[in-house]
Amino acid sequence: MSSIDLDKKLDLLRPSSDEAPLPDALEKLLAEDGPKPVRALYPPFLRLLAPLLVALVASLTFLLRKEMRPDAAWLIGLTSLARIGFGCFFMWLALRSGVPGREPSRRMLLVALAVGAVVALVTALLGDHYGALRQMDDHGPKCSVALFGASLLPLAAIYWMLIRSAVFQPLLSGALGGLSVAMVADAFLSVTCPISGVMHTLVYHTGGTVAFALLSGAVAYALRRLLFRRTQG
Amino acid sequence: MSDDSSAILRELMIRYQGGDSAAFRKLYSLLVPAMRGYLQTLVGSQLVDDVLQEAFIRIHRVRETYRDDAPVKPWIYAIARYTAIDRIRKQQRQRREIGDAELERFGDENRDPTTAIAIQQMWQLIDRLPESQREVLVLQRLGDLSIKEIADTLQTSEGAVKQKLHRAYNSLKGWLSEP
Repeated sequence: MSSIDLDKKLDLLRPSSDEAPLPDALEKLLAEDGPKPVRALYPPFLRLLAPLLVALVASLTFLLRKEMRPDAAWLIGLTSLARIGFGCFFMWLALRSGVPGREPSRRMLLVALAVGAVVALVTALLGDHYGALRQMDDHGPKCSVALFGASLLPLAAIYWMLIRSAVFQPLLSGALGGLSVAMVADAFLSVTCPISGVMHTLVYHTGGTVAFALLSGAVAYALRRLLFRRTQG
Repeated sequence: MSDDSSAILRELMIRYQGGDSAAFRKLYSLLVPAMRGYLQTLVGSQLVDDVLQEAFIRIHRVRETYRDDAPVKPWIYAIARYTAIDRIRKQQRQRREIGDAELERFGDENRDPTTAIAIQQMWQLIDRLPESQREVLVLQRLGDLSIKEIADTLQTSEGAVKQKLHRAYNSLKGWLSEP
């Protein structure tokens, strides 16, 4: 069997191009709303500016009232900027996940998560240089609570953006949105947190970020019919 | 897919976003035959019309999410695919075997019996392919989507699409060569 023969046989499957009338349900839908003219959504890199602004303002007001770490200038210069950068990237992915046909591919997600994990580990190790602050104490849970608190308002802004797009994978969109705002919040939290130990950073900061992302995904999935009713039937 | 037809679809989509219902009708009539074939491979003949209608209702609801710097087909086929997946989950049913009753919808009723039998045989062979290979093949041959458009629709890489197509064509060639 040659390629040409196979092509000919497969060409037989092409449907005829007869005019197909609209079914009644679609005629009714058109009759009900016009259809109303709509404005195309702005691209994700523009739409992320609003939640990013909310995330920055929320983090600054919520977290920077506290005293800064002695080595904060160094941290701001490197590790916090890396976290904010990754937060923006995941925000962009979250907003792209609400545009059919433009969603991040599985490979893109895996690479982003792998690089994000490496960045989290490296920033934890880099931050662990201030000897007097290395001890784990009962401060840990407070960090996670602060992280959650500073992330809630920006998450609402992300959800608002997602509600206005076409979310067909609420778990993924919610998790990416949660991850992005928690990463931005953690960038600021790290500046005020008095503990610089690797375990503290990985468990309460990185772990808190991941937990917030999972929780956000679960909430988006549980409330999918309420939040994303245009795509979830 | 030719640049001309891609430009026509884009133009229709922009007019539809602007409130032109005639553009929606034209889009529907241009896309529905191939979409029906694609959806039928996902959900079977009994559900295909329901799913097709539901897909277009969703397309209408989220029409502002189409951006005119992108091709139309990946956007529309992705919505159709999600709708089919939702329905499959809801029904918890397995893919069906293609039977005689579906021949009329897949092919053209006006074709001669020999062609109709050839079409039926091709569908039976395509049905033997693994689901992921079948899906990319149908999107390419029925939907006329490019490799890039198929990758966008399925959220995968162009390399993975090419690999699946290559395997699908090899399997089909092998089966057709069997005595």
